[in-house]
Amino acid sequence: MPKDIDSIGESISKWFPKPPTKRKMMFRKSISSLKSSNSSKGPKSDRETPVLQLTSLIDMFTIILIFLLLNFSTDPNQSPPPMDVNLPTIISEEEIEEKTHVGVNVVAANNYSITLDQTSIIESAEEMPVKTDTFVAPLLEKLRETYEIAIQTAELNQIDPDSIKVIIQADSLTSYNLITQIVNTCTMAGYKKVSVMVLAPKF
Amino acid sequence: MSFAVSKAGRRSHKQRGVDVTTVLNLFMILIPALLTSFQIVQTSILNLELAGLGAVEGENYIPAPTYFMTTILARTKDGRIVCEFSRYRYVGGESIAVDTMIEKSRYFDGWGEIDTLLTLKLDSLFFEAKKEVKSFLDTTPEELIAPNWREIKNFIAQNPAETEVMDSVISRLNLFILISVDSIGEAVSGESVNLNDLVSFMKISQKCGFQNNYLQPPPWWPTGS
Repeated sequence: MPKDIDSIGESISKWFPKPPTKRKMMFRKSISSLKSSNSSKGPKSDRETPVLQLTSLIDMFTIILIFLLLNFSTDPNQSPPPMDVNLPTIISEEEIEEKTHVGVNVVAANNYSITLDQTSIIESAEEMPVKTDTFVAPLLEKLRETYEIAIQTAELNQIDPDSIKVIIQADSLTSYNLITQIVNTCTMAGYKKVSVMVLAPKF
Repeated sequence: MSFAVSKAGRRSHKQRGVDVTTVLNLFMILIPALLTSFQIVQTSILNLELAGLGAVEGENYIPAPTYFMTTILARTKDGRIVCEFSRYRYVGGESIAVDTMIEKSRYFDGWGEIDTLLTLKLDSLFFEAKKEVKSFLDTTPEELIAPNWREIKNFIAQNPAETEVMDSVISRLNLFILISVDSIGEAVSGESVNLNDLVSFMKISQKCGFQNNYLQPPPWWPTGS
């Protein structure tokens, strides 16, 4: 019996060794620090060099780059419309206008919301102008501010103020009445060029 | 995907390489998903202005003959389109009705149908306007022609091969379309006209060389606005 207990004790200590003493730990630490400091000097086979898979990374970045190139554009005329705005589509035989303008402000609208340069102006159908309104009051206030800024920027950069324009990105189902109200508001704010953005599927 | 091999030619169990295979696989799944979720848009711009008619010509000058077209859009309850199209002439500060080329009683099933009919009419109008402007520039004494038209006349005289100039001049200066909506009784409503209708009309007119499209306020707006 005592023999059996001894053998059990041995097997336990074999499988579950005692934690190293403090002295042993210090020794191990000093050895490992020596190893790491000598690793750059030692033979290549002993080093634990991290391997970076460049080929896969290049593949991945090429795909991302193509995606970004397709989507990114510095031309404000090409700014994507908000998610809830489906632009009207035309079948374009020729490019209608390719000129890039400076001082472009974008009004996005559908039958229940209006935003100006991605800042929400009207967020619910209740706030929308009524049938007989000739302009959109909250939009006019903001448009006047943006027009002033655009004029000042144009003067500073010695750019023709006539090139300042506003683009309406409106949903294809937006009523004619609302479009006219927005166009009138833009004119009242001082904009001389008002355009409507459409989709021209080419690819 | 690949692994470091030790000098002895065996796979090294010590390798601590950053294996991007998993990351790559993940991105290969994510990128098509992103590409489809993002809307890649190729946009164009159509110019719009709210109509404001006014003669700017000098008192002693004779302006070139100016036509303007009006179109009144509306939709029936069953979705058919009304596209009345009339021609006016602007003489001595007054608008004189010339003719109505598409009656308001005619209903169209879609914009394709209107395109076919309107393109023919607009092409003939453009040709006629071109002929009239040419005759005006040839026959009117130079001192009586308004300064902007005098410049155009000189340019054409100096560059006879530039036939596109005349087309451009006519489309920019001498022809324009006023777009409006109206309701006819209870069955035909101008309120149901949307941006899609407006853009469809403008595309047809611009295709035919009519670059100036102006919006007119709807009839239900208070007068004097």
